[in-house]
Amino acid sequence: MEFFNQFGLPPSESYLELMRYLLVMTLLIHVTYMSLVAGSTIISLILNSRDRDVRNTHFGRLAKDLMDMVVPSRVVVLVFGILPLVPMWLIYGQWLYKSIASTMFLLPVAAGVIALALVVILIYRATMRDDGDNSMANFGIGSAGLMILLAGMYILATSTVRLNDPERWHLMQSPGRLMVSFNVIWKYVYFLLGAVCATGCGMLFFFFHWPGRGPVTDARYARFVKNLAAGLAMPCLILMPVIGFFYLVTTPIVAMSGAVYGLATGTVILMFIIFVYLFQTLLAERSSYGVHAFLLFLGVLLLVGVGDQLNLVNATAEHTAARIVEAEEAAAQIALEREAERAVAAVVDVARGREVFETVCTTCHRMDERLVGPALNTVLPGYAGRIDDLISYLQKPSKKNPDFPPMPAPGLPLSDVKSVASYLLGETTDSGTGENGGH
Amino acid sequence: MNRRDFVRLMGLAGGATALNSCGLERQTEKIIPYLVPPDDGVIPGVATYTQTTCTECPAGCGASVKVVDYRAGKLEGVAVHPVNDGALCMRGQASLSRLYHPDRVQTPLKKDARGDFAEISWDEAYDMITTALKASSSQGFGFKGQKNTKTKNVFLSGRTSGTLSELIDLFCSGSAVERLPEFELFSYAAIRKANETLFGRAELPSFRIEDADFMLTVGADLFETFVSPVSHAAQFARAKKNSHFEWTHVEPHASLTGFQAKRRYSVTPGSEPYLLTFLLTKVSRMNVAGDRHIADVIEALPKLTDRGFAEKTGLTVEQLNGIAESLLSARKPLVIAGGVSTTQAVGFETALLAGLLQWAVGMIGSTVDFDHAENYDHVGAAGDVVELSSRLGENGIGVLFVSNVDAAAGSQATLGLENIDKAGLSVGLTEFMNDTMRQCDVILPLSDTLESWGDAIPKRGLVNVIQPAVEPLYDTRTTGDILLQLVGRLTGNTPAASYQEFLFAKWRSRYGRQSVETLLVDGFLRRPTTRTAVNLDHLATRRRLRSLKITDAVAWPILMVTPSIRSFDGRSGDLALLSEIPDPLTTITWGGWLSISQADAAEKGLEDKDEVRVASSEWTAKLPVKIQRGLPRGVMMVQCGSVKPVPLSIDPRSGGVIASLEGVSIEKTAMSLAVPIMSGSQSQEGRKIIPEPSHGGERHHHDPEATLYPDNVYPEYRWGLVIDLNLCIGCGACVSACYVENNVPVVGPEEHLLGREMSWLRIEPYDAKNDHVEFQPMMCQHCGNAPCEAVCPVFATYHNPEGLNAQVYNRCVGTRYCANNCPYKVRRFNWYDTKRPSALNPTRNPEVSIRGRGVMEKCSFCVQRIRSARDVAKDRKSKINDGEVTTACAQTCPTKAMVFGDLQDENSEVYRWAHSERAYRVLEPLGTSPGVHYLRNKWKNDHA
Amino acid sequence: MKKFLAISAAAGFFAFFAAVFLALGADWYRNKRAPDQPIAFSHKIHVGKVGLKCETCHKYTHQSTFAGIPSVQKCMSCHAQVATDRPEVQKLSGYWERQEPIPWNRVHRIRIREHVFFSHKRHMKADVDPKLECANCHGEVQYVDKLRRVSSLEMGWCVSCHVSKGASTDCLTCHR
Repeated sequence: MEFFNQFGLPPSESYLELMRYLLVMTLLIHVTYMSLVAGSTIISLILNSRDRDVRNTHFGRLAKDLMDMVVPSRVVVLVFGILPLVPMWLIYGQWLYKSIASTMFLLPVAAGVIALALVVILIYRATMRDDGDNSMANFGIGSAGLMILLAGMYILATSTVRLNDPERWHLMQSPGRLMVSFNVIWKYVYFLLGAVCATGCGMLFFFFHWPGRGPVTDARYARFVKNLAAGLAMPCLILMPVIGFFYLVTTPIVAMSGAVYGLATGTVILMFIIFVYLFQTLLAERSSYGVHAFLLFLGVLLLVGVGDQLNLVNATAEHTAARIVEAEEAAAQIALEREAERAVAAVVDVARGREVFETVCTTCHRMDERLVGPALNTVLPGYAGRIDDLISYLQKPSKKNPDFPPMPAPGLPLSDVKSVASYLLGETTDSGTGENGGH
Repeated sequence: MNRRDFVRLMGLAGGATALNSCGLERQTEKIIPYLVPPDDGVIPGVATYTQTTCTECPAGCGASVKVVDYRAGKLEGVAVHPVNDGALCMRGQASLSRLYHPDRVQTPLKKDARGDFAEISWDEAYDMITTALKASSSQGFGFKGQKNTKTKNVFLSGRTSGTLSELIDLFCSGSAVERLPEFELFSYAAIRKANETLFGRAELPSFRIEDADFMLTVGADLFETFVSPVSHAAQFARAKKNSHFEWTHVEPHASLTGFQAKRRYSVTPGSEPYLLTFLLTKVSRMNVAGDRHIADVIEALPKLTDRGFAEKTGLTVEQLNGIAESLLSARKPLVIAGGVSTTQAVGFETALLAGLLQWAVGMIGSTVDFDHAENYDHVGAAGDVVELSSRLGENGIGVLFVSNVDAAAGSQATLGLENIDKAGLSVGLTEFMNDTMRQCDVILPLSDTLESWGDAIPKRGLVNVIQPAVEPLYDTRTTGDILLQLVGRLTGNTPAASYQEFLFAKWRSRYGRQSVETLLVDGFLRRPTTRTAVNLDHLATRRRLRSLKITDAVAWPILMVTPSIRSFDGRSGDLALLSEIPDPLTTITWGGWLSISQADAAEKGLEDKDEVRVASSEWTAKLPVKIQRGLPRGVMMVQCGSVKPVPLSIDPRSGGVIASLEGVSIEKTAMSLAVPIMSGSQSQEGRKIIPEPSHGGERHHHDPEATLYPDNVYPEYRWGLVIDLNLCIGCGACVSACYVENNVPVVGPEEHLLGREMSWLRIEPYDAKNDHVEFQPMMCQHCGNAPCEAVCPVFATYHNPEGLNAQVYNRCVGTRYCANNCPYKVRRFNWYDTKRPSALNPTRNPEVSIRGRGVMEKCSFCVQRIRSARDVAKDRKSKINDGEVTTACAQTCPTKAMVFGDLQDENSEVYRWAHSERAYRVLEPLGTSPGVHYLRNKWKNDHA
Repeated sequence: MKKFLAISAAAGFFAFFAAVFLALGADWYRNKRAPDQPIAFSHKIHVGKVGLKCETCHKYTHQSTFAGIPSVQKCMSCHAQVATDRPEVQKLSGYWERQEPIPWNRVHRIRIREHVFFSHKRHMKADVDPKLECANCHGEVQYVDKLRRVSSLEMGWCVSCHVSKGASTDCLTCHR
């Protein structure tokens, strides 16, 4: 962590707010894309293998089309697959500034693995020919890519989801104990189902409604694709709430808030609507709801993403609060220094001092009676002739007398502090002598 | 499945989940802080101790009360207290539950026309009393309105001492009230009367057992109820430590005390005077005391041959001579006659001759101590009550105060306070309702001792403090405060605003400020006593002896009524805990019984639990039978608590009670009753559970058993307990202490009849040869390799690194395998969630979990005490020193027969004991290597 | 018709899970979230800003098993003068004038506490390096206004710390 703490700054509240939105956005893009990639690769691999035994041209063709759809070019892969990881990394780094969570080490690992996986998948795609016959397609490479991808996504899931359990951050030094967590596992399963589901909706969207590629000409192929897409997505939709439930009950209470449950409910409702669309698609002759399904599913992913962010926010509430306070202190420090420069010329104004004294100090202090703080004529004589000590004390008070609660910093500009100090000392030396005369 | 069903099911499941998830974990719990914190420096959860006095019996033991969060949690003896030296008896331990007893009288009560009690305010009560007093003192107030000039107001109270007694005098004198001698059922009247006759001092001397080298006790149940049991036990322990201490016990019946003696002889009931006469004649020949006139005093006594004496007493000539010799050869002999021997027809003679013997052998002033006589100055005799009853009968009483008296215990019998309702106004001062109080017109509720200020002078030269451990629970007052109020209202000027002020004023004037401080801190104060010479009044004695005719007990069989170690004269009977603890001799818990001798049982074909009807001329009762070893033929025993009415009568000479019925008839009914007898068998079945006394030599407790398991290693401590059977008197104080300390539930007779007792610690009486009974405390032995641990499927019991056999209640699932596998049978199973009266909740020890249903429990070596000792030790960053931690049982043992500590610490007491040549462990051959060691008894059971 | 059946079946299914999630939410709201206190006392102000030590108010932390909740009088010792204009402080003075104690809601509670014997004193005086801080279990309260339970206070959590600090894991350490 130290490495990051060198570069990170104590983040202010608004800054963190911004970070949070950025993070959600990045996650949305990245997670959507990754689920499309994962889903497509899975399906395409399955089709390929099926293609081997039943010589069905549709299988091979779809296998190819799918890969074209998700990894059309290196640029797309780079932009959607790999680049988002960098801001994600930095934002988490900012978020977990000075925390002991080991996410910051896991994220790059995940990024690396994912990048590798994408490369391999690119190769896999390259091994497929344009005509329906994919006998030459390299099944091995594809599955290897998939495996690496899944591994990468698991690491990613762990590094983020485990943040919800600050109570066990101190355990996170050992990856072994870190990886094994029901919470993470459920989340991961949820992701896999989401991936297939997303791909299903994605197919309906990209194959039938994507401006570039236009409606598929071959009607039989179109129906095949449509049915396959809907048929795959629907069961996953059914399963997702179940897994979601397990994820919710395994999430630590500290990471919970009412909104999280609300969002969860929201996702379920969206899922139902999607389900209906898919159902229609399945029965209808031709796909007409691809756009709705896909966009709604993006909605689901968005809700989930927001939910995760809320988890993180809840779990790290104290941590963040602490950072924010640090930030404020730092700012205050800077302000104080500026003040000091100006205060060289600050005029000492006893009248002003009196004014300040009556407004600020008198809540706790009186000249000759004990309130929250001691009676001033008991303490001030100690400062007689040591005005600078008094000033520095008033700027940064420290606990002196065990009988009293410590004095909070009044946070006055230096000029006022000086004025008050001189006023006070004047007070005591005038009235003080009188009193000393008294006893 | 159609749609409807489907949706319905879904709804159902949904609802279920919702409910279930809502019930997961509640957190709606309040924390209520102080409004203003108390400035008494009490830290929540930290125990403080208050020194006071146990008032369960007249002995006056010092008690220190453990208070946590303003709740009295436990009583323990005040360390180095002259009477009890840190120990408390069974009753003392249990007396805590008196404070929180649900049946306490909580407000002043007034009896209405229908005879029911209705609540009234204190002012009303005071007014009633004052007006009645004024009326009676002015124009003489008779019964219920009738004029009667010679009426008197009387104040009858239970035994009081110290300042309270003074205050009573002050009150009585101030307001024309006659103070009657105080009431104690067992007031040792015979002994005091005898001493009056002999020495002109109607006093009950204290006996210095620890100084004696030979003790002869005649019927005195030293360790059970006689005068000051704990003190006697403690002294006995000290005496027995020195090797040449001898003790011969002669008794007409069979008592716990008897079985502790080195020699125990059964004497024919009523023949004790002969025994003493024999000894006197022997002694007088020697003229030990150097009293020239003693011989001609003895002249007056009946003369018999040794054989004659032997026939009369039922002892052999050898035995008689044996006793005489040890008596004469002893440097500091001690003779004590008491108990049943002084509460029978010839009780007075027995006491008289015993006193004379004490004089003749010169015990007076050495082992028989009149300077520190027990304080019975104001106590009268049971007979006084009978007289009062007759006075009441002829409407002779105006206002009757009855304070702390349950004299109606035997109301239907010949003894008892009757006609209370005939008094003009009868005022009862009491903590509990009882037969006497129910007859009163007004009831003034008394505060419990633990709520009260006061002092007690149990014996001359000793003052005990009574200071409140808790705030009064109810609207009650102390006797002192009530009397002060009355005095104030009658005379107009109160001696003091409160009894507390009154006390402190008195104390300061009596002892001075400095001493008052010590009194409050130590709990007691030793006062110098004036040594007064005690001399035999020869003439009076001789005259008395001339007229002395010893009537032999003729009519058989004889029924002896003994006070009970558990309920004393019955007063402790209302403490449920004491009914739960087995009677040491019979191990019977709930209900009464009749003890009969083996001979009689055989004769009448009786077995345990057979019901019999016992009857004398004016008394009859139905009781189950328990065969008692050591009980001579023709003698039967019944305990005070266990029969109502108690068949007692009054000895006209001393006014004391006669607690033996002659010529009772006993016949078997067809019934056999369910009696909870806790010990399955009193035979050791040759297992040498209590082996023969050894005189050194053989190797002891390193068990030769090879084991497959690795040896236990104890990094810090190996806690162990050693019990010296040489000192254990089987009194059961430890059992009581264990109950209170460890929240052991009181489950009641039904459960006991099913053999489901819960006591973690039990006293096992075992039959030995020569009609002897031996006692052994038995609790979890905390075995090094415990049979119970191996069979627990959930590891709820295991051997912890400090040698404790741990029982984790929240892990236990109640298979009860452990109990079945335990060779010592010390594990207890909770068959139900025991319902305690909620009033008793404050007595629960907050350091110990309450075990729920289906959980196994057992002795934990008071782990909570170990933990808190460790807490203290850790604060000063050191180990627990020897003696810093002890178990509740060891703490309260009157004879200090138990020592607890670290068996690995070679400098510890427990280590020394465990490596004594007398040490052994029960069922050692099983290879359980227990952490509890026993030390063999030094005295052979040569009882004839 | 078949189609309708299928749709409604799906509806039932998703509705069910919606209900379940809402139920979980309800449970969280009722039992698991940081409880609302009768007075919105802020540790952030008292510990963070004013810089009071925990022991100033929870005075038994080093002496007893309980940490101790400050008495109303304790609160008033400062708030008789300080910040008397704030509504929450006026609530406080209201309690004081009515001479009522403040019914705080418990935040830190051991689930099956009748079986667990926990001592604040022992933990504060524990001989470990670094010394145990209140924050180890109660979180950094100086940063938050509304206090919540940051540690599950479940046995696994206790034990994991006992193990890592080398404290005793003998059952009898906590269970008697």
